[in-house]
Amino acid sequence: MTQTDRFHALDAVRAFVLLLGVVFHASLSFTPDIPVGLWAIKDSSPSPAIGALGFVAHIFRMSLFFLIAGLFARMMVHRKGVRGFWSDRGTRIVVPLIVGWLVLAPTLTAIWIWGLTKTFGGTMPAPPADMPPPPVGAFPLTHLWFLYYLLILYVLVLVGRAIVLKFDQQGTIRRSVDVAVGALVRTGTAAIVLPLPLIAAVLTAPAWQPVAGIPTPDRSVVPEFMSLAAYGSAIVFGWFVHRQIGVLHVWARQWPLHLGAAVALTLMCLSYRHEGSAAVAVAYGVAIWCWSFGLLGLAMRCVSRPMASVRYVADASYWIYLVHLPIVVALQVWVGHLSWHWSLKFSFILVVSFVVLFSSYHYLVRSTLIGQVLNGRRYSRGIRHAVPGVEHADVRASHAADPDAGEPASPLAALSGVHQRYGKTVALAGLDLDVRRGEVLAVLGPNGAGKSTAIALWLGLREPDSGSARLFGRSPLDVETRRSVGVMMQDVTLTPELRVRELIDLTASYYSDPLTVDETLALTRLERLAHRPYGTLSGGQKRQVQFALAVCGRPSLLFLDEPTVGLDVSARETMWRTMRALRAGGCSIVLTTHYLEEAEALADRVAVLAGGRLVTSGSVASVRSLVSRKEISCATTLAVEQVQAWPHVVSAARDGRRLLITAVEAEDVVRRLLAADDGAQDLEVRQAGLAEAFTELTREVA
Amino acid sequence: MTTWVTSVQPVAAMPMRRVLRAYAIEVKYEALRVWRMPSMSVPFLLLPAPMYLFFSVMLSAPAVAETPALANYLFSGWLVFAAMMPALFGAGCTLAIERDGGLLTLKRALPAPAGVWLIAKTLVAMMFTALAVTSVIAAALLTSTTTLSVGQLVIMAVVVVIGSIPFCALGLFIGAHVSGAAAPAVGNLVFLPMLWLSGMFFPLPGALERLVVLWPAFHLNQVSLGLAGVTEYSYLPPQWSVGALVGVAVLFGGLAIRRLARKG
Repeated sequence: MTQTDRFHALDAVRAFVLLLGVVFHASLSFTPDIPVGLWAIKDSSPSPAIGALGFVAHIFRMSLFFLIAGLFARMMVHRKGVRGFWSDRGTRIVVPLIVGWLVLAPTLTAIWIWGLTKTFGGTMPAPPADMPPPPVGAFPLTHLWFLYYLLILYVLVLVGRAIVLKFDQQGTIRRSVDVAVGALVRTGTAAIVLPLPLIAAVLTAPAWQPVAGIPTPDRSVVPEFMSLAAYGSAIVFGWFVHRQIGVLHVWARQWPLHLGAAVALTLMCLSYRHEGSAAVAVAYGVAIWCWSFGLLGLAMRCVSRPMASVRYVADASYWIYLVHLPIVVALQVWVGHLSWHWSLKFSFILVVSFVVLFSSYHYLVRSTLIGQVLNGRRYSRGIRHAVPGVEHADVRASHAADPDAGEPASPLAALSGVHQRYGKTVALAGLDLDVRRGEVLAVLGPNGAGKSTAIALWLGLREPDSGSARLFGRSPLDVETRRSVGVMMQDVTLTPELRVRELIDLTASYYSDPLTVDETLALTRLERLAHRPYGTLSGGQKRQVQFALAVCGRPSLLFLDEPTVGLDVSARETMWRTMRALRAGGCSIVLTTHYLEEAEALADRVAVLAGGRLVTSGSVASVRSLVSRKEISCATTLAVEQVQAWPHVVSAARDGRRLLITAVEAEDVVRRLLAADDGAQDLEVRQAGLAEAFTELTREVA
Repeated sequence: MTTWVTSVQPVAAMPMRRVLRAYAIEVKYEALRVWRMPSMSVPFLLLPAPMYLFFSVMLSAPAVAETPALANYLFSGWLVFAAMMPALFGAGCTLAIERDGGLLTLKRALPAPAGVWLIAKTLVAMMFTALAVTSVIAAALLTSTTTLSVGQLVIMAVVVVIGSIPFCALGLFIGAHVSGAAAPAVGNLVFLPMLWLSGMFFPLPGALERLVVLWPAFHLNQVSLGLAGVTEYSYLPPQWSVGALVGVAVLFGGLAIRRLARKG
């Protein structure tokens, strides 16, 4: 997996939580739980449904935001160094915080006064007599508090990093933490352990209720403990996630579990949102991380590829979140006392807000200095940027995913230094193997050599214990990467109740641009079996159908694991012919086989595995030439036993009049043969075949 | 012969239209598959209504005459029964068979959309549940053995069809852990005791009565009765039972997914 894979997904999630913030603030005037006077206006059409929506959004959006911020922070520190990091953050955090506050705070104050005046019948209400004193360091941070907390947490994290670097020069502590973080994520317990600081803070806070969530720390420049605990643990965890970014793929697998648990816990919190018991606090804390991991995992599954629309929204989201509040609140105040249904008002506020916000981004920000400051780049007007830019997804990495855009020799699939064990059995021991564009690669080896394990790694069915597996320069775990791959496995039983054309239709549906069912049947010469249920086919016919499923998606890389086992001669020749046609059309093929004549007939390159290692790879001729054996054949009267005793003779056998000799130094043996029998006739000497070479090479390893 | 031309282009995300089509096709063929398996489709569709008529209409007639509300309780129980079979066996056994045959491993290697088989199995189980539930409702209406209104029947049917999801999760959990040959037996080891111990059909001894809350069938029955407004046999608030069913779905579904992600 390249970094790019992850960051498209993370960009999308960050944009989602920022835009969700707009929805959250739009919901507040409709929320029945909010007392009059706390928000600029309380709408005349309150809605429990919108209140629940706001409640759910408030559970996780900021924690998830800070987690991603921690991850990006470490990425930037490693890319630019600490000085470069602060330079960047100064531009993109400090400047928006200061300039934004100077513009937004007075605007918001004016709108707030308008709303409160409207609420209280034309006059501003007097402060309540029992109003608590202002907190220490009172200052209206507004919704820009998150920028202020980001700066504080950046300082704390980098100070902590400096201390660790000073006292942990061997990296022992960091490795231990990595192991712990990895274990927490893989076992699914991270969602339970991570909220512990927040739960502790909640349980020590007086009269906390889930309805308040993590209280917004926007009233003072003195950091609040609960917010620091919640968002500090998020940003630190994000930092550690970047140290072993592969854990994102664990979440990609676990997302249904996390989202399911999040929904259940959220329902519980909603039911008891006015009760501050320990059980509800725990449920709330765990829900935060279940939502966060579930959404991250879902994004990894669905939006890990570069998409121009997602990138546009991701770029726009920062600006939108910064400036949305005056627009949203002004609209809330405007419609607050109208007699429309709440659904109409809420939709109106959201639609108008987003139209105004996206338009302002497009025309005032994207190609201006503001865009440069906020997003690190200024887009030219009128030029469509299909490839995302610098911070989030670098062009270099995107090209790595593009087989045509990479270097000419870049492999389509690669295993690099891969180790894989099954218990005590070593399946692969540091295997390096590439598949190049347009070639047929035959992977040969005795049983247990690691052939099927290698294919399983390329297909993302396993993750290597160490080393890396790449498919088109990306992680094979990414489903989109496998969209260009066809697979025929060694042992598989397809659904016996379905007919052949139904199976093809089903498999083709997984691909973007597949062959039609009829084209697939024609290509693989299976028209006569089209309407037969799979369960009624012979073993050889089943293999042919499996081959049809492998090619129906029009793959550019085809994995065939012993494809011709059980086929008769005619069917095998048909399959070979199809494979040659595929190769001629630009399809690369990885073929494992025990039929060495198959490899000789089809392969451009042969890789011989034994004991989990690559013994050799090269063209069939070059592999044969590695073996010094030659086969000598002639008509002679010499006895087999006599010849076998000669030096350099590996074996000798008689076939009628002819004597067949396998020899290491063939020239010496021929000279001796002619000296011993001057009547020898029909002498033939030939290079050992692939079969002999294979046997010798793998025996040497054994 | 078809001309083969493949271009090694960057892998683009599949358009949403095709992703949705992939889900639809998976559901279609999963339904076709179960339909073509008489060992599944026949009991799923043809068993619940006769069972309801035999046990709840014929055998329970004296008890119902004494306590008329019992008829609705038993009716709801048979709706739950109709939901349990396709969910437990339809989802679980087919999954176990696919695992045995390596089909699930193949699907993991193919670019199938996320959770496509899981969604297909769940939806197909719900579809068969809907058909089976309809047959039980038809039997009840034809024999006039229920006093429930049409609205109440619709609510019960919808609840039970949606409520089959936790049983699907349970079936998937079984299918993810045992072989294809053992799955029906293990399924029955869960199914048959649950029928009795959930208290839907037979009075239970006092000690076992307290344990009915452990069985999801009891909770689905409670939700069905509670949301349809049948108060006589509602022992728990529906939201509690919904919580229990969601918990079962999340727990067993999660464990099944986790197992399958690791072992295929």
